Amino acid sequence: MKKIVSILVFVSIIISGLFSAVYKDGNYTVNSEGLEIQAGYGEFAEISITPIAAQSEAYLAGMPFNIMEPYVQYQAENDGRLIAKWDVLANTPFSITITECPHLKHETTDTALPYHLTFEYDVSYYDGTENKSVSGEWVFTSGQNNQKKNVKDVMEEEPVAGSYFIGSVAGDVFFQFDQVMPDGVTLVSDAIDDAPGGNYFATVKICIEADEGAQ
Amino acid sequence: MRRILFILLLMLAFSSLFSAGSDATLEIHAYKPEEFTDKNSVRLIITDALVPMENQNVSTLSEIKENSELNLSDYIHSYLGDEQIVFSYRIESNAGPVEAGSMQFTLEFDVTPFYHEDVWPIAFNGASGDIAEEERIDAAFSITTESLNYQENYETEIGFYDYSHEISSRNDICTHTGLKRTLRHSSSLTSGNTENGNAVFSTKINIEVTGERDRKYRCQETLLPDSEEYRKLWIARGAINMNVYESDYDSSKIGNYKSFVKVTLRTGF
Repeated sequence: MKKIVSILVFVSIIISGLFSAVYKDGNYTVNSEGLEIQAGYGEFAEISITPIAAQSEAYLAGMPFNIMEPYVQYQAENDGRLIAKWDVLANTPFSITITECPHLKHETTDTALPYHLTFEYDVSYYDGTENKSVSGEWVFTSGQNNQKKNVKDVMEEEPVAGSYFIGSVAGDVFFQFDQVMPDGVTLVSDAIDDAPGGNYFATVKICIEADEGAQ
Repeated sequence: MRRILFILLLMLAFSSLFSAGSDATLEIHAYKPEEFTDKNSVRLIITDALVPMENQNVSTLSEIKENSELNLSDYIHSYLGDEQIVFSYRIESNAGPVEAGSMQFTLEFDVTPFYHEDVWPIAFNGASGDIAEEERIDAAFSITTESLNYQENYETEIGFYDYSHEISSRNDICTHTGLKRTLRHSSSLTSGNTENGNAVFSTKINIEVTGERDRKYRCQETLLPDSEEYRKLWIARGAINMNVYESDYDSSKIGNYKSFVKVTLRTGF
């Protein structure tokens, strides 16, 4: 059974002090002035998503993007537009849920543009005997809430009892217009032409949960 | 007792730092420009890299005239350390099919040093005599335009174009005959420094029509054979990067700074 677990015990070791250069037998030994060590015990998982600034890579990536831009439409019909980087730090298997994923909506009208978000990942983990890694992607669809992906689904094998997960996930987030709108009309190019001018927004909320049971 | 309280506070701080569950939010922004219908005009769009929005700092210069000018300005915040894009620019033209020849666009950038926020605002006139030396930080910046090779590859597939059109029948798929432009510009990167508030540099971007090529373009709207409809997308674009060198920044100047940038577009034939 999975649930969000709280931290059991934290051990914090802070070592600080001043160290100065020491002259001995004709040699100098220089130490750092301070050393701080922090250690955590227990299960934790953190997720962060960093948007890419608009058009920072020769207009090939980032937000906001002009949906009339030919290359944006080209990306929307092919591999998607890179809009963010994401990474996870965890010491336990975890699940990722997009709790809210609304359509891209015009600021003043009800015009909504459906899309897909593709989270590419590269998961590294230790299964108790050796380091393993696996790559792939998760695709989320706008207009659907609580879309859940479990990191165990991408591992080659279920972690056995006594093994542990020390892993990291890092990858790109791609935006891609949905090819077909709810009314069956192909969106890319045609529907964009019919959409009103102005700003479009969507706030996507993502939650990561540590998985206590698979530890 | 104090030590126990300290440890408890420390554990509380770490428990909030390393919570088992974590949330993140991704804000997706997109925009669709209002239709650019003015004929024989050119516009310069300045896009703030952080909060670029439709209609933000968009100004249209209608009726292209020789040596006409278009001025835009934007505030930027200080950038210390790594060079960062502060805003990007794009020049659009709706001048219609262009005969073989050349169009020239000149972009000029006037940049002030970073002034301490407390002394802002001040009228921008290129001078800074009223600002004490210790209230200023000079900045280094560069302006990029896309390389010629990149443009050529890009344009072949999806880039800017203009066209006249021929229609086989009304309410039917129509085929356009395109006229391809190739962007020529004098440099792909220009850089400089502000020096006590003086204007810094200008860079030129030259556009030439190099030939024609047939292009099929999907069209599902009704067009009249004598329609004058034509469409232009960007003809030049790039980004403006800026940073403040660590060596120019000392602890006594810590604070928020702003700079003022004026971009001037001149056109001519």
